[in-house]
Amino acid sequence: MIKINKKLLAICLCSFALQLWALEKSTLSNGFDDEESPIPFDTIYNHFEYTPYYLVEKSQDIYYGLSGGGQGIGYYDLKNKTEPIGWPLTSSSPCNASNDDCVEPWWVGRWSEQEFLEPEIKKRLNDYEITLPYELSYGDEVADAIGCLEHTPLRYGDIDADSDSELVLFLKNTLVVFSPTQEKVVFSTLFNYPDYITWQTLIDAEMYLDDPDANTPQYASLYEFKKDRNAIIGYRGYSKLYVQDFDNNQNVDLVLWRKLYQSRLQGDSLKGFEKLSDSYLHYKKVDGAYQLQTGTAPETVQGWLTANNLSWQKGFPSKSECDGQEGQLIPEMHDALLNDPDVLK
Amino acid sequence: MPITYTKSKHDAVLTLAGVSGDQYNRKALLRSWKARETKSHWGHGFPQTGYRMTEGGGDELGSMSFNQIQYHYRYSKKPIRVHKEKALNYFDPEDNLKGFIVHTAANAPGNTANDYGHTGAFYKVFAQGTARSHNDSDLKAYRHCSGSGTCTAVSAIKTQEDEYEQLARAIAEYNLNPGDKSWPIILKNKKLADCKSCEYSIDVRNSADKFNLPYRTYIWKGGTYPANLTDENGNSDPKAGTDWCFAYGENEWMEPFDVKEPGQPTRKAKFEDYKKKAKRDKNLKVSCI
Repeated sequence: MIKINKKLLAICLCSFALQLWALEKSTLSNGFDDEESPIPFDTIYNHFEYTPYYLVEKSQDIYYGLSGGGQGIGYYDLKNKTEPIGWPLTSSSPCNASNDDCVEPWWVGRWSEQEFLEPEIKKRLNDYEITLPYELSYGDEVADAIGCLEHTPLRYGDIDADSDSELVLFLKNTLVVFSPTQEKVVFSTLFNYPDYITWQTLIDAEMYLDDPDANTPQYASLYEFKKDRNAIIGYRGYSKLYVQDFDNNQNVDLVLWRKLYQSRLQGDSLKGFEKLSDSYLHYKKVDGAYQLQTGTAPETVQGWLTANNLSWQKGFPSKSECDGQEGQLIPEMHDALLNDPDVLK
Repeated sequence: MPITYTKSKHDAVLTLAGVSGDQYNRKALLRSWKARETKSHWGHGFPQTGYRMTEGGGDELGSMSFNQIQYHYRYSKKPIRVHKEKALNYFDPEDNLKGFIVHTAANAPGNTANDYGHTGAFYKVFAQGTARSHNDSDLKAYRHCSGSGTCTAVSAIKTQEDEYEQLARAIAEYNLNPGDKSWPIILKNKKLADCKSCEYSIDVRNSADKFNLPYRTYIWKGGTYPANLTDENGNSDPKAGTDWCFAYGENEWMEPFDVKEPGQPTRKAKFEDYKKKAKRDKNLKVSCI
């Protein structure tokens, strides 16, 4: 007769249940804007002559707000009408005015050095002085929000089953987890890096380039075209998040699977992109914030995903929240033009 | 040279903006335009002298100022064709100004005449292009207001850009393509940091030390008054159920108010901030027309 350890079973079931849907829209409290529910915005304005862009309810008459700049969180107690408390989402530069030799790191304006970006992206940010600060999409950009996740940019719930709820934010192409308890960002990833436009776009813009040949990229960098009208090769990258107790220590781990692609050349027989890298990263909560576990080998992390039958399409985000496309795979992250069989399963 | 920005078009711009007089002729516009460029074209270096021309901005591909036409990504693989083919002295300020005009009016590459390797901004907007449609039902009207606060009467917006808006976009286009929308929709959708060429265009046309046209303000629908709106005495308000509007245009885009929010540095207001503010401040609501 097999004895079942009920406590272990409960942990296993809990862990299993955590994966995937811990971050899905349906499992979190979703924020709202002024048009959807004006009354708490009216109350805030009447007392403070200011309104945030989005609110999410913590409890009755207690709200968290996201600023219009997308760089700050406010805590609004509408029961006691106390002055709002503000917390910055962004980190500040470690450089100071007295140190001329200090080079500002790429993550200034974002989370911290705990965030991972591929060396190719960091080199591009550095070489061309491109920044990726936290900010809400604005104007024309709103329509480009991948999977329409940013259309509900503020959400609230316990994503890692530690009985302490977090704010989950979608700021342009970045997923941010903010802990009101810790009063700081505890995790962040650039889940979409859409640095590409067709090479023809440059030609249509009357950039006078050499005539395209076999070595000309099929896609150019969008960011450098917009910033400096330079013609360099295009990149696109994505990441998927998995929330589960992978190392069986009864605490939830975050696993991040990132992929970076580069444009194929016009002489290639294949259209689209080729993969530059897969990155497998393990984050563990230490003192309330997630820390990158550099000691966990990528092969180990990959093995966890394989052992748990967690494919690319089972990571978060995968499902579109766009009107009429709810529940369908987000097209860009699962595109056949990536020429990567992983993204098709 | 192709005909682009004619006197009749310029006169239409002035009429729309509510101004007239010699100080607003096309020559004055050109002087104002070059006044924007002059500060980076002349007078740099050491010792500082008003006679020194700025040449190059670090390399010969991304050159600035008078050398800017050598920037091959923007001005063709064969730059300076204008000066060669029109026999203009590249280093003579007057000739260089003529070169600027030829460049701005140049037609599309491939044409047998006046092909200087790129399509000039004025050719694109006034000869080749058509007025763009706004395609925004919230855009209702416009008026022009001077720095002293004197405003023209409010006029209903046309379906497509008028001459004032085409000039605004053409000057921006000379600097850098501001996008594929009409002028007011560009201002609605792009922040100052995302449209340097919009700032360039407004500065040339509207700044008091340049061409000094009164800024154009647009009137946008912000919302609808509640159907049960009452006045201070509790009587039914005639505005009940009607639309309310707010003002946001060139001056607001250039000089937005500061927004102080919990948790983040003070930032500059955007279109949405003007709308949100007007929603709860009756003094900022305006008649839709």
